Amino acid sequence: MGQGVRLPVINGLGRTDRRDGWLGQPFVMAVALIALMAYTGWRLLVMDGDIHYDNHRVTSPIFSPDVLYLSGLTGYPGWLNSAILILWLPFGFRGTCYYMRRVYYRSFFASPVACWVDEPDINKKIGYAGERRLFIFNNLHRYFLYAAIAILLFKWWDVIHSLHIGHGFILDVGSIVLAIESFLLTMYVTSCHAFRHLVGGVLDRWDGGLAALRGRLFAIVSSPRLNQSHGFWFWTSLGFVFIGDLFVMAVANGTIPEASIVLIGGV
Amino acid sequence: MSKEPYTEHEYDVIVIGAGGAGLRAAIEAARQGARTAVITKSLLGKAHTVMAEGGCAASLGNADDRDSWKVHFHDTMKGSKYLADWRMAEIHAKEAPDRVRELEQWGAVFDRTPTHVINQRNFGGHTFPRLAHVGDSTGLEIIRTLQERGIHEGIDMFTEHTVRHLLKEGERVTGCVAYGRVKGDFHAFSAKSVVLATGGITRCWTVCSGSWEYTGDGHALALWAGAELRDMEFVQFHPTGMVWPPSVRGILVTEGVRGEGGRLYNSEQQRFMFDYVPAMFRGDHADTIQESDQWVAEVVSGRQATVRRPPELLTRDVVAKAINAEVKAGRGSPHGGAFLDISHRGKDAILHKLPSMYHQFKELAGVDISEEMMEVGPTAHYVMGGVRVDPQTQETTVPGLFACGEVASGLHGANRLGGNSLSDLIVFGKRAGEHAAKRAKNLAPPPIDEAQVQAAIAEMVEPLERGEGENPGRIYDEMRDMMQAKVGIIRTKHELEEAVDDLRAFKARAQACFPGTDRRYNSGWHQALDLINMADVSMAATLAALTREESRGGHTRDDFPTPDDDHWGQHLNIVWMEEGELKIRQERLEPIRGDLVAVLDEVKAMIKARAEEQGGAR
Amino acid sequence: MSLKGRKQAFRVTRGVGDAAEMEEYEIELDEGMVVLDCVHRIQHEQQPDLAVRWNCKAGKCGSCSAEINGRPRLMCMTRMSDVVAETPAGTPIEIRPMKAFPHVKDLVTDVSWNYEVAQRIAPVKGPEAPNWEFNQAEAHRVQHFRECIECFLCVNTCHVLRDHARFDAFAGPRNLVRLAQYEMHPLDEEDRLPEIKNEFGVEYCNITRCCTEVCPAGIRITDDAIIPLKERVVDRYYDPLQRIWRAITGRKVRM
Repeated sequence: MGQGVRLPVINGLGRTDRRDGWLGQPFVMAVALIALMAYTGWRLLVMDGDIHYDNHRVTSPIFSPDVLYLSGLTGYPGWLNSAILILWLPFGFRGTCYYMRRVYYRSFFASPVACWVDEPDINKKIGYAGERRLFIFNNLHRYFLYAAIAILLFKWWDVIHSLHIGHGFILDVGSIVLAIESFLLTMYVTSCHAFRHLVGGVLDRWDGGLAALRGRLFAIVSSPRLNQSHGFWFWTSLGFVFIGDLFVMAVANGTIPEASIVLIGGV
Repeated sequence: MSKEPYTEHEYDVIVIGAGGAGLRAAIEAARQGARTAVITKSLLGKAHTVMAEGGCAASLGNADDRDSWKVHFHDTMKGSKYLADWRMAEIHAKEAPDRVRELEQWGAVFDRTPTHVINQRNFGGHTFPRLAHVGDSTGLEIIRTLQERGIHEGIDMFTEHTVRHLLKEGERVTGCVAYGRVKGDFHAFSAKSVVLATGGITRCWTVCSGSWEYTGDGHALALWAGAELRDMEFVQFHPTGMVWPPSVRGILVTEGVRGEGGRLYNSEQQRFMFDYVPAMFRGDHADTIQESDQWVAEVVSGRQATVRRPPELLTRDVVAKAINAEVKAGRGSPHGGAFLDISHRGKDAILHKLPSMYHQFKELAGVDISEEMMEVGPTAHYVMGGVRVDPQTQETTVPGLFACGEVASGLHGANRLGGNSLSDLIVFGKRAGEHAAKRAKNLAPPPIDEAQVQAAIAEMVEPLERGEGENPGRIYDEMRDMMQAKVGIIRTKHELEEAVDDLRAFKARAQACFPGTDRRYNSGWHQALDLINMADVSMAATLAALTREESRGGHTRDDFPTPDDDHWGQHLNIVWMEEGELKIRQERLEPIRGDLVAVLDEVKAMIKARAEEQGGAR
Repeated sequence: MSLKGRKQAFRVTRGVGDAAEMEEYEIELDEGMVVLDCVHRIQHEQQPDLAVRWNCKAGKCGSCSAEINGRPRLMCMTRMSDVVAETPAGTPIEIRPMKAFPHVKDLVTDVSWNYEVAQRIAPVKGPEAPNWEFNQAEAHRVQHFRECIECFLCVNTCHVLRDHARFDAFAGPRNLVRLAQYEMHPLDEEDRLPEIKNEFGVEYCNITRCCTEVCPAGIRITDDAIIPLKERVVDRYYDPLQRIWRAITGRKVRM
């Protein structure tokens, strides 16, 4: 680099010349994520009852797929539940998500908290390695994507199952909640950067036959509705998992009477 | 006089300017084996070429296979009002397609046709869709391509260095002297060939589309070194520059807007261009709004046009004067322009084809061009005049000095067609580089004459040592205002004579201004030096304008409103400098070569037949 | 809001490096001004030797990058009406040079590092025969990257360079965009992935997206250039299935 000194970048966590409310977004996001994680922990370890109603017709999104119930296993220890077994997959998918990485590097590692805001001294002392050392596990994102696609199929199966097709048709608010949750999750998964790479981004040419089709898929995934809104789908799909869980819990423990939410068909 | 330290450098070829022409010349020189350096006032890739928007004209025949070099040659000659050097127009039309293909192989990514080759768009004065383009930022694409190619050719780049003096030995040019803008240090270059590629002079006008660099450095260096300029009266006022708000007045609105179907309206909602078709173009433009709408519908959907084009696509001089006349007649827009409307194309098409226009209006004027009309008016955009060069080699009248791009002249005559500048850069840039390198092969490195260097440095340092004086910025603003008022789009004898006196006064003021004493990146100092070229170059333009007593292309005299084909249609103005004074003489045009006359006749017949066919069908 | 006639105070960096200080100027505003107009007015009326780099004044050349009220922007595309609105009443508008680069003087910095990195990137290498054929969709992805005006605001913003000064190990967002543009060129045959991983350090990016936030050309630097490059690096270096597949098919790649 040419000669000359750099102007002093003012040092220390949160030091900046910015004059706007830059702290708001990372702070709110940190609070939201901590709250959701605390709730999940509570649900997994403390309060893991009331996870379905109407004899497993509708299961809470946190505990779905309910592998313990589906496999018919019995005699497992009382602290174990399906969420403990399967939740690491969606957790891994979200944890290595290219959008989520932005959020946690900013909100939890202050690396940086916000653009043009300096990092804490400790970050500089440790030395910055980006995603080369500790965070190299993020490269597993595509494998979590494969798992997420499998889970997504279960989610849609849950929606169909909740309709009781073949045993007399039932449509209740629970089915709609699950359908919305599955829809949001579908948008989140199909707007994923690894998915975008997989369907067409990996190619340089989209000419003729399958390659042309993949080019079109790439264009669809790249659209403002999908990849460009990945963050939107991240938060809405995440939020709805918990809305779904609260709803199922409320119905299962009788806070909301089951009969009152049926729209079509009978219990 | 105390001696200033300076650094010596030795090269085969020095290229002054790193725009499209300069980079193309440097690449060619380096490829011929010459040790080459580029000296530029700015950083690499910032040159004014980035402002070229619409496209690069080349008769690839991709969008319409009826196109050929012959039609391009004809269009260029007709657009120039037959003042162009027909040899250059021929070379340009023949070589442009290869130069464009070459850019593609260097990484330029032009818009594609449905058949996967380079797409071409319509532009004023071009009979067929001919402009290879990238949305509305073709210039950026071309300069970036040349830049990315150039850095791998072993060219030395002196960025942010300004050349103030050409070294001479007898008649020939042997190098140059430059100062570093950042540190304020001095450099002397020994060079076997020097290529001027410094661009234009349009900063001499207040309402202009040019960046600060457009101060006519190359024109002035050539004059000072004894070279001749031609056609300096012909300044292209681009019809569509922004007019509001004041701080963006003059910023270019690409002709691509009209190429994509843009319509010009006056304040009475009339498509006034239908009333301004000059005799020369009568019959080959649409007569009715329906016909012109049909043409737009056909070409934007990628079909070949079956009717005649809208009158908005007449040559730039015609459209600029039409807007000027409408404003004078009291039918202008609120801020003294005309209305340009592209909203009928819909937001998607606009965002795809004219993205930077959309953002330019959105961000600078708060206007959404997909819903509202733009206000546009003429802006000083290009100087057709420049250093006189040999059509084959681009060598000037001074041995060892070459010129290419806007600083050279001859290709555009009295009016340049849109899109012909980018092709000019790459066609003649290559030729200049090639011949500069060829010349260098047979020469020994010329010695650097220290006395000349010290004299040049003394001249550069002088403003810093004045101790007191005016702020150069003020002189700069006032001189540009004067040129705008007196040597603008419409000229009269009386005002031009006043301008001559004013320019003498401005030059005297410029020689007494004081920009402070700092040598490090002192913008005022740089401006104080630029003012001297601007005064000389403005004077050249003014003298030529005063002499040419007719109206033609980019030169319009209120007191001589019609073309004078018998005399001025056959003569050029040549300007040169002798002992610090500008001189002017006229030279008769050389008759067009016989086979090219036949080409012109052939194309004219084709256009006429086509116009009759298309006009008759509606 | 018309600003005509309003008196406005500015604090502008003056001097060189450590010795630089913020100096205060007051000028009268006109309608529709951008920040660069104000700097020019200071130059032409008060301080002729104020250093500022600019060229086109239309957002196309990327020369006039600076930090206005602590936010890096192009001075020519920042309207005074917006800046006045965001500046706390009664305080001057602050203009500083880009901080990630060596300071030259006043508002000018030395951005030559970006050009040095660019020189190390292998250029496009495609078929020898001219008249290349590829379609608009393929062209479009690359054209998006080629809208870059090299203002280097992204480089100035990136914390890898701004806070950690890893100029030695990381190519910076602008040059990663250039690499993406070459790598995704439909007819380019060059392989730059080992360099992208090692020499140009794509993994240093932790995708906090500040470069995208600041890009005046609207290039989605992180999502369209850097993440796809990271995915291509994963393909080659971190995906066991792909390794097995390469072993089975006998496909050799540079590592």
